[in-house]
Amino acid sequence: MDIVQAKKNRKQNRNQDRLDSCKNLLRYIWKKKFMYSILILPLLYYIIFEYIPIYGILIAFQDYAPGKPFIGGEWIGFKNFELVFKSKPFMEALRNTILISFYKIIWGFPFPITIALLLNEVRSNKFKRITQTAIYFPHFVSWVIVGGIIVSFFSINDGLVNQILKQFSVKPINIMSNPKYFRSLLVISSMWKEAGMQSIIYLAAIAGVDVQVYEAAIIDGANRWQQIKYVTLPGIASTIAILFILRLGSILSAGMEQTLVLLNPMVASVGENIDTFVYKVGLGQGDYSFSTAVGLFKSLVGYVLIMGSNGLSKKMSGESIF
Amino acid sequence: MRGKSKRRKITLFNIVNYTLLFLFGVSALYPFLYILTISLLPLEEYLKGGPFLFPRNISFEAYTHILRNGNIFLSFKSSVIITVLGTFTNLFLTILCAYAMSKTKLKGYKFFINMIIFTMYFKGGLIPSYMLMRSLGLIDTYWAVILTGGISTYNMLVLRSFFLNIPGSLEEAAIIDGATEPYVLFKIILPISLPAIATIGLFYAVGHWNSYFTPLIYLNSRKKWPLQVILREILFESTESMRTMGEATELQKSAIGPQLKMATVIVTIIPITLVYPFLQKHFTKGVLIGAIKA
Repeated sequence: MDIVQAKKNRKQNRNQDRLDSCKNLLRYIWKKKFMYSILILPLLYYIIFEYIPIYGILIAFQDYAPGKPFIGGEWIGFKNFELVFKSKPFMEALRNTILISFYKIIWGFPFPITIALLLNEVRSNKFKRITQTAIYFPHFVSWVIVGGIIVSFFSINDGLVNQILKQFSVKPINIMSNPKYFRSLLVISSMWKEAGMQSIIYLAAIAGVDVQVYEAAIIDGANRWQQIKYVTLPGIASTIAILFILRLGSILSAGMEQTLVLLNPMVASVGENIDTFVYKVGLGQGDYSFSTAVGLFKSLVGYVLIMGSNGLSKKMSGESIF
Repeated sequence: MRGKSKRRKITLFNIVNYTLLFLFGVSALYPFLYILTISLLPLEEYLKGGPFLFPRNISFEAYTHILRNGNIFLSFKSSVIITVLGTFTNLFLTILCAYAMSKTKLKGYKFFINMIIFTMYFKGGLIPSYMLMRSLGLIDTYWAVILTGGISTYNMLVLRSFFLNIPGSLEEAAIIDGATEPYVLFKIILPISLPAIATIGLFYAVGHWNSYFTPLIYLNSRKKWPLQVILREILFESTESMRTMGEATELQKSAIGPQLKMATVIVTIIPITLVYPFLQKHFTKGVLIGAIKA
C-alpha cells in the first residue's frame, strides 16, 4: 500500500511541478510581455514571408500546374530533379554561372585589396577622401543605371567607344551583343560598381595592423614595397582568407539583376545563369515545379558551401561569421 | 598616419600610386559626366556626330521633353511610394526585431535568433515566394514589393549589435526611476540610436529606389512601374516600348532618342546623388559593424 501511495504522491508532485513551471513560464512571459509583444510582428514576417516560401519548396516534388492551390499538385518524387539534370539549358546555365563566378573571383577579388593597399599609402588626407568619395559612388546606383552607362559607352550606333573607333576608321564592334565579350562585360562592370565599396573592409583591416611593426620594419630599412609585402599583407591575411572563403560560398550566384538587365537573346548562350534561368522558366514559361527544383538545387548547394566554408574559415583562422 | 617621416618625397612609388588612384577615381565618375553630357547635347550637334567627351553647348531639350510628356512623373511617384512606404515598414519591423533580439537573456532567445539567421542562408526562392504573394492577393500591389525583404536580417543584426553596445546601466537606471519598457525603448534607446537607424534607413531607401527585379515580377500594371523598370525598358527595349507606350512613341522615334535615354538616367540618379553625402558619412560604419558582428 505504501509503495502505491508513494508512487501516487510522486506522480502528483510531478504534475504539480509541471503545473508550477508552466505557471512560472506564463508569469515570466507576462513580466516580459513588452519584449514578446514587439517580437510578434517581426516573427510573423519571418514565418509568412520566409518560412512559408521554404515550405513551398515542396512543389519541386510535385507536378504542379499554375492555377492550383499553394501545394496542390500531384506528388512525383524526384522526377523534376531528373528532368533538371537532363535538361541541356539548365546545364548550360549552371556552366555559365560557375564560369562567370570564377572569372569574377579571379579578377574581382584581388582588385579591392589592391585599392585598399594603394589608398593606405596615400599621405594626403584630402586626396584620399576625394578618391574614396569617387570610387564608392557606383555602389549606390542601380544595375539599370549601370546598364545605361554601358549603352552610352558601347552601343553599336552611337556609343562612345564606337564613336572613337570611327575617328580612327575602325569598324564598329557590337560589344553588348557579342558572346565573345559578354562575360568580360559582366566581370568588368561588377568590378567597376563594387570594388571601391569592398575596399572599405580591407582598409579597416589595414588600420588594425600594429604601428610598431611598421616602425620596426622602417628601422630595418624596409622600403614601401617591402612594407606592403612583409607587414601589411601578412597583417590582413586572415581577413583576406575569410572573405575569400565566403566568396567561394556564393559561387552559384553570378549576379541576378546585373545579368537580367544586360542579357539579350544574342548572348543568352554565354550569359544565362541559374537565377535568370529560374526566372525565365518559372515566371516566363509557367513551369513552376521544374524551376523550383532548380532553385532548391541552388539553395542546397549554396547552403552546403556556406556552412562548409564557414567551418573551414573557423578551422583555419579561428574566425567565422557565426 | 604612421608617425614616420612626413616629408613628402616624390618617389616613383608615389607617382605610380597617385596616378593609379586618380585613374580609378576618374573612371568611377567620368561615366556619369559623360551621360550628363549626352543628355544636355543640343540636337544639331548630336546629329553632326561624336565623340562628345565634354559638354560644350548645353540644351535642356531632352529634359523639357521628359517633363512635358509627363509619363515619368507616374513612375517617379511609384518609386517614391515604394521607397517611402518600404523604408518605414522596414525600419519599423527591423527596430522591433533588433531591440527584442538585443535582449539575449530573454527566454526563447536562442530559438528565435537561430530561426531568424537560418533565413539568411536558406531561402524559399523565387517561385514559392511568388506563389505566396499570389495566394495573399498581393500581386500588382505595392505591398508585394514592400514586404519582399521586409526585414533585411543583415541590417537587423547591424542594428542589434548597436543596441548591444549601449550600456545596460542606462536602461536599468531608467527602470529604477520608474520608466516603463515602452518608454525606455521609444524615449531613451531610439533617440541615442538615431545615427544607426538613419544609416540602415538609408540602406533600405537606396535598396528600394534601386530595386528592379522585385517590382518587375510583382507589378503588372504599367502605371505602377517604378523608374528603374521603365528605364530598363527605355534603354534596352526601345522598340517594344514604342509599341506599348503610346505617347512615348513619338519621343522614341524623335531624333533626340539617345539624349532622352540619358536624361532619364540622370533623373533616376539625382535622388541618390542628393543623399550620397549622408550615405557616405555613415555607410563605412555600417559596413564595418556588419562585417564584424554579423
